[in-house]
Amino acid sequence: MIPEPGRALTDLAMRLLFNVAPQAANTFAAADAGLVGQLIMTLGQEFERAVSTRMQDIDEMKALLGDAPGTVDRRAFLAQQPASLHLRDVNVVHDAGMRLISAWHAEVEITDDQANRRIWTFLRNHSERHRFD
Amino acid sequence: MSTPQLNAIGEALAAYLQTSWRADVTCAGISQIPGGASRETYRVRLLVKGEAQGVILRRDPPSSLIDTERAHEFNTYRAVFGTGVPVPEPLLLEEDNPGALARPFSLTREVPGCESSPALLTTPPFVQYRSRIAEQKWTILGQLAALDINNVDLAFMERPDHPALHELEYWASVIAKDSLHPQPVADAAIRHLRRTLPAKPKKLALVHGDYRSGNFLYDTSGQIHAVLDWEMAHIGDPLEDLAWSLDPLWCWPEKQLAGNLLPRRDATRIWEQASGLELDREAFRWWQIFASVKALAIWISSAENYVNGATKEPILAYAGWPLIDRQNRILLDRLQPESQHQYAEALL
Repeated sequence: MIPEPGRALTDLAMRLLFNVAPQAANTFAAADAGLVGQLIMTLGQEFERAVSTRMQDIDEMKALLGDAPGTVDRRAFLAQQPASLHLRDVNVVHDAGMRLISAWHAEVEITDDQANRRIWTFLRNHSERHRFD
Repeated sequence: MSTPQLNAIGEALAAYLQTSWRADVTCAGISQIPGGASRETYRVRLLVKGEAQGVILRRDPPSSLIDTERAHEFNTYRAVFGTGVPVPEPLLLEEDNPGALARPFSLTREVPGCESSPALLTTPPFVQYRSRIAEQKWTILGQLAALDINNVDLAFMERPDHPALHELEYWASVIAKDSLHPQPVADAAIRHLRRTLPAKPKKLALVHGDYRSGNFLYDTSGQIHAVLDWEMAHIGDPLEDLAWSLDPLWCWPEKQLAGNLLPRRDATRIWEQASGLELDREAFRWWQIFASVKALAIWISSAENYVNGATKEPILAYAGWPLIDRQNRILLDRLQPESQHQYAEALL
């Protein structure tokens, strides 16, 4: 068992980018191999952090929504926990939170400057957590 | 694709043309061109009655990044060819009886000895010609904006009453239909655009729809010979193309040089001179945000296509991961109060 699949994926991508792609039979194959290599590196980065970033997002969204003004019904989300730490289960709760954030944003962005800024700050932090290098 | 598979496509094309052109046609060579996200693209060397001819074959894939009409693109080539805006010569469109090629296709004459890669613009020998290429790039775009759409055969295109509203609602519907996850940044951007809709433009123009580095052919002396990929062309506000050409994604991760070519203010100055139009700054700010929303819609759609579509082209997955991430960061920079403009310069 290789304990860090993310790192292994990165190593495999490097092999594809620097060993396989340069020896491809034509420019199309070389470009294809290069693109697949970049995608594997992206996957490697996402593999390591996927659950952790989403759980952090969920915690922040619950904190934001917990005492937020507005009429968006957030009770079910605040009580919700992922059924497991498998990505598909974490995604269910993460998506529910993101939908609420978007609905809340639509409700307050013109009328409540403070809430609007808090939401943008969350979206910025969310984006930085999920950014690909 | 293996060499025998490629050769089979070349031979199928030659057999088709033998009948269509009523001439002796053989395939002397074929290669696939990388980067085409919406069509399979091949460079084919033909011998027609013993004379060498280069053509570009564009064939429908089983699944595409953008749901475009091949006839729409081909008819646009036909309309623009000969107007002064450089495009490859359109040769034929086959939608109903593609024969052994199996899927609909179009054919244009090859523009030989050219590159299209935006990455090459930052490397020798092309890097020394960047200002020359830039001057032509935005001059051509200005000429396109100046074209009188009543003097060009564009009867197959809709004439929207309010181009900004029309485009916004179309791409908003793409995001609503194709999002695999909630998209709160896109949602906020769309709400912002609906609140700040610009007035109707003084002039309707032919809009290319994807005018950027990567979609024109240039040679080793820095001469632009053709503008490609007109599948999203439509009648609309000429500011749409200008804003799209300046989106920070096209020079990522740099911010200063639009399309890796020149500062954005210089690009708008060249465009104003060539088009004879004065930039409406307020409307242009709207179109710059719109450009990022439209791009995001395309990446979202490509992610959906990769997951649910028939093909697993890596370009679809690339658009669906790193490009969604980057476009979101660009939009955040443009919309967040007190933005630090980390990824996108302030709107012009």
